[in-house]
Amino acid sequence: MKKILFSLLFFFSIQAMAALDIEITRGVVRMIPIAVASFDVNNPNNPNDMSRIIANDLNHSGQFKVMAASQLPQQPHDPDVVSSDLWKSLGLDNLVIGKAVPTGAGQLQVNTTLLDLFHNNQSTPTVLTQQSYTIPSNESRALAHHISDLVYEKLTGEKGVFSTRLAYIRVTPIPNSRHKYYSLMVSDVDGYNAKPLLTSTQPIMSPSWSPDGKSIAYVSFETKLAQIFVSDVATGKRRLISSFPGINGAPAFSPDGRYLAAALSLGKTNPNIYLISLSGGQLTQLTNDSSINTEPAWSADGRSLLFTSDRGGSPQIYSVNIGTQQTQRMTYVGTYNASASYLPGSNTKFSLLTRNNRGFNVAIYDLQSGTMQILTQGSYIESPSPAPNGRMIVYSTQVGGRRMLGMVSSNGQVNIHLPGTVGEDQAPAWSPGPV
Amino acid sequence: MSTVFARSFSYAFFFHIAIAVLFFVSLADSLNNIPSAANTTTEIRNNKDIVNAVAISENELSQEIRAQQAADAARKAQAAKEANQLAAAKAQALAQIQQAKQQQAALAAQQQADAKKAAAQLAALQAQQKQAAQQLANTQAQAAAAKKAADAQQAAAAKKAADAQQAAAAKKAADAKRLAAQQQAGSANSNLETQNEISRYVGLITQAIQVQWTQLPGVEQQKLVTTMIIRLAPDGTVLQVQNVGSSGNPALDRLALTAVYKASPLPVPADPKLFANFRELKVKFSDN
Repeated sequence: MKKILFSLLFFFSIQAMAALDIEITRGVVRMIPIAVASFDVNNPNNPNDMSRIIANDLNHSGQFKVMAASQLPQQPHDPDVVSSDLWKSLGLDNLVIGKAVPTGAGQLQVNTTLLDLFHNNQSTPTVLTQQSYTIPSNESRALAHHISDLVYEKLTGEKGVFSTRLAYIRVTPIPNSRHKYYSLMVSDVDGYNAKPLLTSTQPIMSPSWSPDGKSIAYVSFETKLAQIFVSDVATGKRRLISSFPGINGAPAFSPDGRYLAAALSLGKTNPNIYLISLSGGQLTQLTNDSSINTEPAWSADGRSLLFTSDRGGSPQIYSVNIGTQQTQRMTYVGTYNASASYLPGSNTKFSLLTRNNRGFNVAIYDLQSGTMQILTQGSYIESPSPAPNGRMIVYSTQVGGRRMLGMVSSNGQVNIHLPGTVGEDQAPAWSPGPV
Repeated sequence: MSTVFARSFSYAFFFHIAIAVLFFVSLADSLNNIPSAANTTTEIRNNKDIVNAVAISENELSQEIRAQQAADAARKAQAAKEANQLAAAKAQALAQIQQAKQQQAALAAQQQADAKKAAAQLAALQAQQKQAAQQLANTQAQAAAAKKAADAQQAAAAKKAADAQQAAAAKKAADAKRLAAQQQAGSANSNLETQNEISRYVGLITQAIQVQWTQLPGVEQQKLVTTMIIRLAPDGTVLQVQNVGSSGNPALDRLALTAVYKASPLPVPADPKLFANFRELKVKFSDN
């Protein structure tokens, strides 16, 4: 009897060991199919519903395929009433539900749940994360962006950038005048909550964020001459940094926030790259020739700068080492390459503006492979600026004769426009973020 | 050795010569007595006249006695001579024996010396042999140690092989049992066909999961390895998934998990005997 038991035991252990091996070595590159149900318990068609903001954010990221609100068969607010089977049958992997209930005194009680439809084989979905907030009603948009970040990070493993901001220049005509207003604007990443930090009847150019996201450097022609200022985003207080004869252009904060790199001509006809100490104003010259040298952009370690120069005959991207002041040409593809910025977290890839047979477009240049990946298919694109997680690039483009902001995912999958409300938007700069 | 033999031979030869000499001397003595006897007979035949004969006989007798005495004397002289000769021969023989003895002694001494020398040589040889034996023993000890290690290794290898063999045998037994069961159930599948069917379904399952595995555009997944054990119902429905090796990125682990559940029910063989192989699967996701 013992022997039989032992044999049986042996047999079963062999059975257990004999699990067949399956090796999956590649999947399918695609976006995660997701839906965001309405948060508004009274009016599911509320255009300002938090669910719309979240859906937009996720959609813009290039990592999610978001089902349109109008196609949702139900608007559940409570995870207990969600049946996986219905949502699975729509081809979804995940579902975001929530409930925003006004309490007294202008407060909003918000609950949200991220559900996974394929975490088990039951018809009950699995809760991946569940959060509750009480906020002032007027902060629902910011909270929606925060929820987008939560969902994004939970499902992709990377930080979201939906709570970051954009700085850009908005140009609006002055009624009954040939003049225009130039405003330095700061908005949410979806273009909402746009507020002017500075308005002038003379051009404002080249906004650039400080690494702590508290200040913006820019060029203002308010005295009819180019000057570089730094403004505090919260208070609007500003400080003149550079007012040298000739060109004062293209400021860029160093990663440690102690210097501005800028293009200065110092009375000559062409600009060179300089460092300006923000504490003492001392200058350090990094390039010294008679070609145009501009648009400095820091490497993450603060030891070198990319810049644009036409010293080779056409605009190309170069790099200058701050310690040795050695310069090196970086791009050899195409006849026009400008406005480079390292993708955050990378020292081998940078976004740039390149000219192809369509016109000027956003591209990513890979130094290791020497290849250029063109992401947009426009013709009058300018000023690409990467998001702090490197997954999206904001730029300005011209649509129907009007200049507006656009965003393209770094994989080229999603490209959207932010039409704004009035005027023409240009020279966007993506703020630093939580990455 | 041959000289010893030659010497012995020569002594023996001389002995024989000596014996031959002694024999010859006594023979010659006998031959000398025969004429005197003949003389006596003749004298008796001449005694026909007894008186005369008696008178004469006394003369003759006296003559005869004298002759006899002379003969005796001669014979005695001869005997003495012969004794002398014998003694001489004996002495010579003795001397020869003595010499032989001396030579023998010398030989013995020589032999003893030789033996001693040989013994010494033997001792030396034995010492050498002992040393050699010691060396051999040392070498053997070393060899033994090496052998022991080798044996241990060999034993381990043998054990491993035996284990493998045992496992293989067990698997074979299990396979055989399964096959027997199949045959008993009336299934005509041979073992090879079974293996082919299993491979085919492994391919189908791989494909089914692969098309459901979402890889996020642009998200680096280098060296991602997620391993999970999944348990299936007979219709291929994924009953349970157990993550047994995380990629370290929960989001990417979850995408792998999603792929498995999205692929459910997986394609599995309808034959319950064949399905037994698919009750539990080990699925490894790796990006390369």
